[in-house]
Amino acid sequence: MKKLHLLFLGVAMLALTGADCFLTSAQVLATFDLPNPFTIDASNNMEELDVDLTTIEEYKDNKDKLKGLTDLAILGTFTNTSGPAGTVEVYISADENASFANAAAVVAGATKLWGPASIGPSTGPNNVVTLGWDESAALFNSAGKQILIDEAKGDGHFKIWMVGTPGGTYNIRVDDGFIVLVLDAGV
Amino acid sequence: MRRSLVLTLLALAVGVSAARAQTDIGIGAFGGMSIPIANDLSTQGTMFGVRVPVRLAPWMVIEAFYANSALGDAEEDFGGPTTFTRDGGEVSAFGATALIPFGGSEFGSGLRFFPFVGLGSYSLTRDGADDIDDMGVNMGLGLGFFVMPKLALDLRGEFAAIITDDTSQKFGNVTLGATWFIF
Repeated sequence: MKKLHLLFLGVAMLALTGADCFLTSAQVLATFDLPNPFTIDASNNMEELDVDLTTIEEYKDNKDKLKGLTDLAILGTFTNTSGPAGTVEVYISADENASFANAAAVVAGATKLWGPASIGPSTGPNNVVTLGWDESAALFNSAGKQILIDEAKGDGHFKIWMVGTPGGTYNIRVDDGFIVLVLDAGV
Repeated sequence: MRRSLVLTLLALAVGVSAARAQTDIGIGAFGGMSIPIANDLSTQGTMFGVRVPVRLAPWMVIEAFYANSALGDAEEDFGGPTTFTRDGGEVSAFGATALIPFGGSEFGSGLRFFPFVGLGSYSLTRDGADDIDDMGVNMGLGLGFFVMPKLALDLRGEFAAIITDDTSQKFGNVTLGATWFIF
């Protein structure tokens, strides 16, 4: 009977030893700090942001073992400093050299990544919005998210645009903005 | 397909037990804590579940299980003035575990030590994220004893991993359980 015990345990240990590819992995939190503050201004109704994930220590440490992203969020405090109620959306391009003249060109030429997040009029009580982490994670668009995942697994350098409601004339200031990524990586 | 495999294994265990002349079948409940391993997105939470052990031989018990864990939320301020909270998620699983008891002079008495290994269908849900439904494995060590001829208590330390393609989400579980052997 002891032989059967040992055989069973041996098979279990062998199975786990051979499974190290998935067992030796971790979900690692990494954040990219957006400029603080920045403003989506009425002149072109957008703000262009260059994102280089290689500036994040956690990303650099895990890049060669990166399998994917477990979770994503864009966090920050959005303040409508002038203008009516509106929304904020984020667009992405894998080409870090991409450039657009205005919000309409971004919407036409880039891929939606996140949003819309609603914000009240500058004169109202809801002119300052801080989205929750859960709420933000739910706002990702699958096509844009896939580009972000591919970029994270690639060179980690891409461009995003924060865009206000098309046709709007307002300024939205973003304070303490972050892109939050949870890396699915080997260890 | 993965759920079908687990159900097939469970059916096989029940079928084998039914073919035996003398089989011990019980029903039990357990509770304890679940601790995410190498996972920044969840913190320690609670877990509970039920088990149906079937003793196929003196050295082998097959146990069907259902377990549910409510993981603790992650909180981060990212160096800013606002603290953000991410839902830790909830894990539910069903499957089968094979236990190999050591010790105890005969079934129903004595202290038993048992390593175990199992397979299950796991579901991880988290607010604002797609559900993860994948196969998982569990293994660990338990210590059990009978407080009455048909009532056993056990303490288990378990490692569980939900296999998500090339990676996994892993948990350490510590549970206390009670099982009543019906037959």
